[in-house]
Amino acid sequence: MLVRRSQFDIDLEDEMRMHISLRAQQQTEAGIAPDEARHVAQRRFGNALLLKETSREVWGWRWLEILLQDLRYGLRILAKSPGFTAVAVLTLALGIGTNTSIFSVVHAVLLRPLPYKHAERLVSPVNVAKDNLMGLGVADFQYATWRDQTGIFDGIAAYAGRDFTITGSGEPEQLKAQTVTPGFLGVMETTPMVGRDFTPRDAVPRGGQVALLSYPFWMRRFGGDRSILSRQLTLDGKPYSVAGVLPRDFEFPENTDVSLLVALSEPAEQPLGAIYFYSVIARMRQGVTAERAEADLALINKRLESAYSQRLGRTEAGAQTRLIGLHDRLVGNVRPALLVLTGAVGLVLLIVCVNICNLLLARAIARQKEIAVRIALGAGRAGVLRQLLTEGMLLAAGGGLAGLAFAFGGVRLLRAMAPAGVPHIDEAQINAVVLGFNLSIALCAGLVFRTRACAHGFRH
Amino acid sequence: MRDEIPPGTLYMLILKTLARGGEMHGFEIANSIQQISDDILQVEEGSLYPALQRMLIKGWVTAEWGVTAGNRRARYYKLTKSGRKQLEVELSQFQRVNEAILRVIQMA
Repeated sequence: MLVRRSQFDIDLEDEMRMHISLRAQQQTEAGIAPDEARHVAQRRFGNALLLKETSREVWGWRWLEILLQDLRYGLRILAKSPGFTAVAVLTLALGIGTNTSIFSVVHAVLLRPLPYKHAERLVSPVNVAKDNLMGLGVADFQYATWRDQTGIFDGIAAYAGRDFTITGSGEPEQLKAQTVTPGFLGVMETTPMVGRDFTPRDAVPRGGQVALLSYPFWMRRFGGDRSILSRQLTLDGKPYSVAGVLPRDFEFPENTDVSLLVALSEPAEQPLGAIYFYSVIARMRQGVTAERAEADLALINKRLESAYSQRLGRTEAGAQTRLIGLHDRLVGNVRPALLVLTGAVGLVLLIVCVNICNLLLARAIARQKEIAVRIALGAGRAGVLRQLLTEGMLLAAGGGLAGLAFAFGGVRLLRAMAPAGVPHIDEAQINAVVLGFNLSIALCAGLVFRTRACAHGFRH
Repeated sequence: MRDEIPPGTLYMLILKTLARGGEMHGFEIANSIQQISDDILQVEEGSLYPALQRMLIKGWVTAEWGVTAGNRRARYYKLTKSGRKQLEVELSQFQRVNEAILRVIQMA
């Protein structure tokens, strides 16, 4: 294309030069002095440079040429005032960097869909007391009654956290584990990647004897050895057999660092002895609304309350069961805080833009002469504006890039600083989506401060 | 007294000139328009060239390099079939507009 372009320029120039010289020749033949003739010919031809540009624009190459020229010029101008450039880029980096860091957390925690099939139908039934908004655990017999009531849920499972110490075959290690009822993976609509799922026969009250390993734990402790299926683990001094290994991308809803699932037997509907409380996860039946399900559960609860009134504590009586979407349950507590943070860093970016706008205005006064000269030399107002905008974009791009570097550190800091219990915080990282966000806020910032400064500048 | 040509008619003038004269280079086109109009219509001569480029893109003319009688290298423009059609379109449009304008200004 460049070869074609230069040939195009040469042709056009030849053509125009010939035209002018023929016209000059005609004038001399009419008796006008050669110098004067040349002058007349040129005047009649018009602004050759402008016409050449117009001819080129006809072919549609001009925009690229203009862009490159504006970029070159912008870089030169910015390099000429390193102080201003450094201050502007660093300020922008701060604004864009904080926004990018916070956004990476917002993306990981709030925006990213949960990694489960049809996650929108996963709910967590929680008991809520009248004057206590905290979720209470679900009593074992309550869970069992819901489980045996068909028509509300496609599947329901109970779970409770438990820690183990693994000994034998290597260093002793503290492990985070969850005891789950055998239907748990079915509710999550997933199956082990190696081995088999829990069966009711694996289950033992309070959990024990059969375990499923998480993929990271299997890789870390056993190097991905499949013979683990025929071996036994020693957990808290007791032998456990291994049913299988969870899929690589499986995440336990509440903690991402669960190493083991242990089979827990299904609680009975009749409360016997001590009452245990569990967390519950359920998959809504298609077409059943949360309101209807909650009404059904309320009915069941009423029946339970009258049957076991003497066994239920005061907090349990009068508690209501609410169905909370799994996503809401996981992020419900951190959402407001994160949104406030997002707003705050958004304001920081706005302040950054205002500051840079002021810097640009101050510079605009110093550059008035330069711009006046360029306009006098024939640059159009649109051309000058476009060049200033390109310059702003260059600044913004520099700021965005530096901001990205800043965000790499920022994300690490946020992950380390985050209070316990922020779900999926470990997945906060600079990925493609965050990169896209970074790019677009940099461009928006560039557009905002540059057009503001220009609008202001041209009014005066 | 020289008048600038009305906007929008430059294509028509170039097309008509080429239709009459066959292959011509830019200078000849400019000269021809001026002479035939008895020096009243003056093309800003340079503006011919962007217009010719546009006509090349639209396929109304083709261009080829040749040598003039005075032994200079020159680009010769020639009307194409679609250029001829365009000329008819522009002519009938111009006449329609012209007649309309005449009718308006001749109303007593």
